[in-house]
Amino acid sequence: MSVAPPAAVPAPRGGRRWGLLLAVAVVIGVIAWIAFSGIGNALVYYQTPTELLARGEAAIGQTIRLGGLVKNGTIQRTDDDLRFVLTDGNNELPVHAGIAALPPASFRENVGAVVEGRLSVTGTFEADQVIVKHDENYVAPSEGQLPSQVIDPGS
Amino acid sequence: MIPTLGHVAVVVGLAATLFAAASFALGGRRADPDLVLLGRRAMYVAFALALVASGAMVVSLLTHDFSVQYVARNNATTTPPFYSFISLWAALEGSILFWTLLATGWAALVLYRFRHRAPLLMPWVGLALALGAAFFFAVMTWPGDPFTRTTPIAAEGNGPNALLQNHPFMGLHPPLLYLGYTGMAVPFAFGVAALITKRTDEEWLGIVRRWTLVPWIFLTAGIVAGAWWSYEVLGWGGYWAWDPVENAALLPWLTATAFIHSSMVAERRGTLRVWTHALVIATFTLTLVGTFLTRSGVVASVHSFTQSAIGPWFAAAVVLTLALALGLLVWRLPELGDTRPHGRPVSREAAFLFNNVLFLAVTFAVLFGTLYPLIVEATSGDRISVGAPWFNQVNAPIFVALLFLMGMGPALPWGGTSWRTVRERFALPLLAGVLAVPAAWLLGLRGWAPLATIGLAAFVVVVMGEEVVRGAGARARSRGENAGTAVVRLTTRNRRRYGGYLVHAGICVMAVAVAISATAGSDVTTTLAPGESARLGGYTVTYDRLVVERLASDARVTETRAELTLAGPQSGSLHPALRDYPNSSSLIATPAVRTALGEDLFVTLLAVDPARQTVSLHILVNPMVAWIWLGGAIVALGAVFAAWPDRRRTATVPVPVPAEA
Amino acid sequence: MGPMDRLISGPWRWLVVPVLVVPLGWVLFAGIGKDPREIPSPLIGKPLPAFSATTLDGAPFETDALAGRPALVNVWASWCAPCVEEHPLLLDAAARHGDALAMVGVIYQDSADNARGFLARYGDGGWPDLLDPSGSIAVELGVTGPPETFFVDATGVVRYRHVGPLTAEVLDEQLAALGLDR
Repeated sequence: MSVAPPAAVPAPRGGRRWGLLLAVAVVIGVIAWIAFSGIGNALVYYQTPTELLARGEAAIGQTIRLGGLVKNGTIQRTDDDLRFVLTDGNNELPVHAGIAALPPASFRENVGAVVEGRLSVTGTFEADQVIVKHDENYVAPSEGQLPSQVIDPGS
Repeated sequence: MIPTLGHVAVVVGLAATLFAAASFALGGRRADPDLVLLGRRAMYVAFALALVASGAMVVSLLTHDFSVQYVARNNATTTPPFYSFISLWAALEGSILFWTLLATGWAALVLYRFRHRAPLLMPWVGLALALGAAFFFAVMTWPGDPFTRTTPIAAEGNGPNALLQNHPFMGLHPPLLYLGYTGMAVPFAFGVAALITKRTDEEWLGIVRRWTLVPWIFLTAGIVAGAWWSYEVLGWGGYWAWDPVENAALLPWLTATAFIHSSMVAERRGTLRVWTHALVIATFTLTLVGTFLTRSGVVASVHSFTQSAIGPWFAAAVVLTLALALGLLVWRLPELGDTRPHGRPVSREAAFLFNNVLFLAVTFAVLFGTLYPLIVEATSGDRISVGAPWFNQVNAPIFVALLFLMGMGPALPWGGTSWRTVRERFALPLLAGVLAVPAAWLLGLRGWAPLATIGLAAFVVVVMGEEVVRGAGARARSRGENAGTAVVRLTTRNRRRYGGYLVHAGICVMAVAVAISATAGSDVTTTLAPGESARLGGYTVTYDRLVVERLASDARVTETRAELTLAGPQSGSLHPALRDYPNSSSLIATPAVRTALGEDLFVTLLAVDPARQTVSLHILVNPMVAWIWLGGAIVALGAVFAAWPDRRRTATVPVPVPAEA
Repeated sequence: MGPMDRLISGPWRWLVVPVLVVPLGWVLFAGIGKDPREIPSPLIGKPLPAFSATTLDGAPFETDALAGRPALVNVWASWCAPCVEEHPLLLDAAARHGDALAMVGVIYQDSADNARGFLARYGDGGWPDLLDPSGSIAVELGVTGPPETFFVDATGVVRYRHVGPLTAEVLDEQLAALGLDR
């Protein structure tokens, strides 16, 4: 078969590769389906105690990131366990973190914190992770800092 | 004086790049080589100015000149010289300066190397590169002046971000990444030039191959280095979290890899040309988007990025670049049809087409997952984040499919073949792949993803192995060479192909290592009193004592260290620590990692109770992690091999042009 | 020419540009201005926590002393470079408003000597600076790191918390909100 000159003229399309295009369309369709069907469960909503309580029972069991301040005088620690109250000034929620969710050493009262977990039927928020939140006022960020770390290096 | 010099250099650099752009544009339109020469020289000057400005900043950092706001915020009198030096790229304004240095460096290099070649393309290449550099100079002149002064002058600076002082590797990771990012402007510029001049045939693709591979090597090394640093230094036990910053580096890598493959097809077979142009435009645009995501404060990770006035500038640059480049592509769309007839469906071209589609799918998935929180917040006000499981869920099957293509592609001939030939050709590799799965199962591997990965990796490796054996065998027979010589001569006569095979082999190693480390690891979190031990996977970790002291290297830093003894397949002492840096109100954890070829033993100090002297530890056994880094090294090696000129020199005859520099 | 080819060479192909560029542009620009600092201080709208401390000069200090006028509580340290940057603004505010504005400094994780050195070098505005050796005041206020400034109204309610060095704009704006105009 002779080769067409490598310039502007498109080669004659005898029967466009519909088969191939169809295969490509199927592949894209499958991927899109996996992506969009999964996105519902994958979203982690960020809320304050007020917002979470306002949702009532619908919020039970859903993975949520709860942000607030650790209320003064509410921290109770044992070797394997941590309980405290998270408040946003208007409403508050008791939080329980098991040994796998122990917070970093900078965790203390009156500090901003984000806990990721689920609201249980008992009204306690069961945390999978406790992250101490910092404002980076004067320390500029660097590449490589990661969001969801139990150890919270200056972020 | 020196900071002022730096600032002046920046402003003059802006003028030089704008001047260069004008010269290139006019010189291109009028086919005037003198104007083009003028533009080239202006770009050399721009690079020199970027060097001066960078030098001024480095000197300011080394001399702890706190009259410069950037120095006051990122440096202290106690900062060691090495860390002072690398603070050049530690924070926003400095990293833009560093970017400019590299961007003008690449521009000067390519313009110099091509001063006698491709005279029709080069004015437009120069224009694109000059405008790109001009943007960064402009950012430094207006919203992001790295040489901003402060009064009164602080007696002591803040010091570098604690994270940056923790490990000397911070000296390596950003430069590698930035060299990759900035280098991608070169193939983009050639693509733009090809579109403008309608010279969209193989010429620009032949030129661009090596000039894409080299930045690609840096980008790959930078990303792997980042993952390694994240693992070894940040201490959360993993190496990739689909964090927006990580995604920002991955996105251009994905499209660049697709571009490298697509351009092979476009160069050899005259098809997939629109894809190829689109991919190089996407790559460059994504390097800008990546910088925007990292530096502008737009995407909320759990930690906050600093807001800056630079955000809108970058957003505008992304939009403008995409609009112009896409406009060019659309303009020339009629010219970009296939220049040769299509092959049959079961062909290497088809494999490459699917390759493009899959890489683009991953790119879109990652982009979507990263930007979706922005979209949601802008429309409904809800603040969300997209968790890592989603990224893994969507990308894992795509990567598995890509592995499959990696095996199919090289062994399928151009132009197509019959299913019968396919069956014959792939019988042995398929057998190898199928056998590898139960073999891995017997060795203890579980989970569909790792097993599929191993099977496919075996498939790919055998396909490539067969090629090498067949090729070397043919040489050995026809020329009487022995096996070793035959292999060496075979591969060095066609470095593109065999370098590519080595890269693919490295990817297979990484894929298997990632699959195993992601699924076969184990961990435990425990609190220990002195003398107590914890057991995990054959290891015993005993907590001996707690030590609190100031660092010898920097007296402002207090380190709380747990001294542990390790027994098991690896043994010795471990010292995970928490460091208290004065300018950071939280503690930085440094994990203790013991690496062996088969697995890593990883310990992080979570918390300390000084009263009772107890420590809370997170202990992990991470299998095969070392192979991820080794695989990355193989990939880099393979790419270097592929980029190296062949032993028998392929002729690219320079077009005679009046000799000027 | 088939319909596909007509599409590719005809004017409709230009639609690709706005279709791709506009959504991307919207997403990027919509994100700007979003402050990712998600947790506002829960102190806002609440009374300033009561505390007592010793000043750098050795005198006792109670938060009662702030009652009846707008107050500015500035958390700083001698080792904090941005604190140096904002200090002239604080001196200026003190000079301009005098007794109409109560100003208090809280010294964060620092020694008395270093703090005095800072004031000697950059200017002492005459307002009390409180030593906080146990860090309890900082904890009460929820301070994550210096500099931080709390704007308190005349009834003792916290109106605004600024994290990072003050700028002239923020200072003027917040003082005006407290009833103190330039």
